[in-house]
Amino acid sequence: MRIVGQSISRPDALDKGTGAAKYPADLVKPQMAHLKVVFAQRAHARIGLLDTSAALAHPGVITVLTAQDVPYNRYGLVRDDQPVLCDRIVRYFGDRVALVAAETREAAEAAAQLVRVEYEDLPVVTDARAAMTPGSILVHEGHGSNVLEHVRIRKGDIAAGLAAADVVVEATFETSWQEHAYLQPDAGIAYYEGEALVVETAGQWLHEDRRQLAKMLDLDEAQVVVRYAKIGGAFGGREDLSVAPLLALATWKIQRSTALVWSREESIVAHHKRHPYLICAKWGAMHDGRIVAAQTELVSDGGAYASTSAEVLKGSTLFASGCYNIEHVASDGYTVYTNNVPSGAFRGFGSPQAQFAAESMVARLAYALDLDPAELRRRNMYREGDFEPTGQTLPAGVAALPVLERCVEEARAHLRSAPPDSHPKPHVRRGVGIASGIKNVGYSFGFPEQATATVELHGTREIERATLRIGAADVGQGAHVVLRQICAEALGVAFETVEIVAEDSALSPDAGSASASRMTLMGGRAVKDAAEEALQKFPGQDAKATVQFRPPATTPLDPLTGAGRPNYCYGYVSQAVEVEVDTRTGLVQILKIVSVHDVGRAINKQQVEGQIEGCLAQAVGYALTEHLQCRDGKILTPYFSTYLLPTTLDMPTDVYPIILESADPHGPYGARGVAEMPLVPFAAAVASAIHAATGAWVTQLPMTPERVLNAIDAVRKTALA
Amino acid sequence: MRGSAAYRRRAIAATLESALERIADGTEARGLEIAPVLLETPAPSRPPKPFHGTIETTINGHLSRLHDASHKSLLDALRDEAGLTGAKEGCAEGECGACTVWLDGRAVMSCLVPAPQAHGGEVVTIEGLASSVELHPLQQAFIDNAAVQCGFCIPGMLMAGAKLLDERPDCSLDEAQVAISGNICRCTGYKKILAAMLDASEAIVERAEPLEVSA
Repeated sequence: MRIVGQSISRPDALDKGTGAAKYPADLVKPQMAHLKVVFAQRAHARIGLLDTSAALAHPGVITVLTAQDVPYNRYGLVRDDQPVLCDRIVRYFGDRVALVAAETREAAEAAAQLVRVEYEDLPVVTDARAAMTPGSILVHEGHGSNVLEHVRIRKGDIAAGLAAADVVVEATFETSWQEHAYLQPDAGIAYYEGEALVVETAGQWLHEDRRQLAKMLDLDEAQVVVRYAKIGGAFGGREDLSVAPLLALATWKIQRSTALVWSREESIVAHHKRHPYLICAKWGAMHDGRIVAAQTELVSDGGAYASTSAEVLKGSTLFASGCYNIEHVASDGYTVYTNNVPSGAFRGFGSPQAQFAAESMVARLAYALDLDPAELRRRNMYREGDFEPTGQTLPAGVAALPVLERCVEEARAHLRSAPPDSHPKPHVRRGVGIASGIKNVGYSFGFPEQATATVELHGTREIERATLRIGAADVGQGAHVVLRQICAEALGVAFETVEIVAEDSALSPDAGSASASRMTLMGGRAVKDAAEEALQKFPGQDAKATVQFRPPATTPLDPLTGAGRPNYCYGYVSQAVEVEVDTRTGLVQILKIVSVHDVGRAINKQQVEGQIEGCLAQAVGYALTEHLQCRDGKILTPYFSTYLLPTTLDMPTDVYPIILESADPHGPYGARGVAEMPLVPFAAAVASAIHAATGAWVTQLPMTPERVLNAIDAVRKTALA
Repeated sequence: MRGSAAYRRRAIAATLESALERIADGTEARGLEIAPVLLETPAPSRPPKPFHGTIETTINGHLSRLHDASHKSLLDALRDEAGLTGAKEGCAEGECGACTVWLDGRAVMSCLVPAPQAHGGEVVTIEGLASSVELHPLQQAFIDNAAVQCGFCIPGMLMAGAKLLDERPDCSLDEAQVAISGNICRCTGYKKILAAMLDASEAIVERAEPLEVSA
């Protein structure tokens, strides 16, 4: 291996570090028509009068578009239930009602204020469990119930398992929305290039964006081009379309270049979030340390539109029993329409919520059995050849146990094992917690999975230049450097010999989305296979190859039992954290983190570390500070001053990302994925550390100081009683 | 301090209790910097320049006249009028730091600065951080340390970090953390950014020291 395994510097870092890199909002030109959205700003209402005449009369206004202007007024990644512009009903605060196009940004903003909408408010449902009850008001009238999806998994006999267990623990967990807070707010431009309608923005999947935009405008896909400028972070938050349909619609309608730049507030109010979950769990174990029963009910708030809620729920329900071989499993997941902001994809895709509960349950069982939490995990953890609760053997490469063992070893080396009360101030307590996790790499449950790449070789005797075409989004994770490294390795040429064409739906084939930790495995494998095939034809006029890679097929789950083959690859993670808790204020500070991952093969170790460290910062936010608050459907924290992201002072400097490499059978050079894994068990590890420090179990995310203090109070009261 | 009113009352009492204990212990000054990081290097104070609606300012060493910017933030003036899109808008309320530039030797969040404040002054943006022949050592260190992922925060991060290195070339890890505590990065977790700052500090200090001649 010459190039795979090297920490090659990313070529894009130079432009990004000199200010030359162009993100979507940097592409706006003065002569473009500027767009401004009129948002609903109410949770549920019927549109009575929609009068655009005053806005149209405002100087500089070109047009005001409404639902009637949209040829096919529905879009969505899985189920197209979201209107581009609302017609009769608005279902959440961020619904779009009208779109103003004007000569200047100021004119567009002023005119948007002049669009007169009269609403008849409708009853609002913002509690997922209330929305499930028969007789609840419906968010979508055509959908007979607010339950969007119910997933049911059954293994063994849960009643018998719980009855026979020596120890049974029961708890309820509640998680909150999480905002992606990609640093670049949604923005883009649209224009005509010849006959083609071009939308230049930031997203995660060129070809899927193109499909939805073409369908909306009733155009042939060949008439629409999606281009990505530099993408300022995504984390699942750009999987659903936000500004792109509005740009495409306006440019198509007025036949002019248009620009739309959302403020941070508009971005937070309008785009989807990580799902809040309510999880009720009842687990049982034997005195010998066997976990024998796991019963879980999960209810997630899908918000006003489907987005990927059903897919996220499937993952949560599958992982409700964690990474453990448990004889009796019963998991029921429900995702529900409400009048809240839609929920959808976010790094981890349903796993962090489910495994916050599952790993907390394992920790509680360990205390109940008086066993070391790592030892209880060791005894029950998935091994090669074990069955999933869905009845199939796990895909080869089950690294759960070696990952845990390494984590225990690293924790012993780096984290203190001093007693919780060793701090000089008696009200400051320290504790260490450990947790493990599992998360699929790639699409699941029968969703069509493929990646396609083209490699073209130029040169007479030697390869002088290789062109790699792959429609793969570099959302910041470094996909492009990694794919070029794989291509150069397969061809036996220098890294610089490979050029990549990846940001234009018309110039590169479809690699699928930059999501589900899949691009290195899927895109990388397509690149490797295409490079090897092209090499066979070299030298020659036609030394090029296009290869579509398809991994082993997955299947939908049986609706009654959950039987099926959910995934083709898993990533495994174990983490240990040390925290300090101020028991007077409830403030938790994370002192050290060990995060161990089996990545199959690190194509570029520096980039892999970057994924782990960066994901940990999002995990710290998810566990402690990021508290998106809503009241009656309105987001009360739509600014960075009210929604608190971790700064460098919130992150410990003692972070140990540990990379194991046991090759995956399908990944290029054995690589699998890693990007989401650190978020999966982290909150549970922190909860466990808080428990070790204080004796209190916190069951709500984020674990704000107030919640931590309340949990400590509860322990004090119990001790006094 | 966020939370219910009951929590806030209790947390204030607890914080006060902790503070009083520190005073009683005589440890109240521990952890407070004797010389805090300011993110500014002294610039000669300039005489006021009469303002007649057109902002005349030096940007990256070139005199610029911004005609239509008197009602704008410095960030919008730089992006819309001067055509410099390196500084980014991430929040428009001074929370994220992506818009950080230097104004008269001081790192500022340009989204909060009225553009006319730059009249008669000197602005340096990310586009002006490198010299005509080479990158600033911090830019190079960011590349070498893989401190850049999506890159959107990087212009602001570099302007804050480079100002710290101007202010105290031999900076500590704590000082590096404080210097970028007003800059949010959603991708990297800050570890590689801090490593890059310490690397750059080392490179700058080495360059400044005369080479020791070995006997």
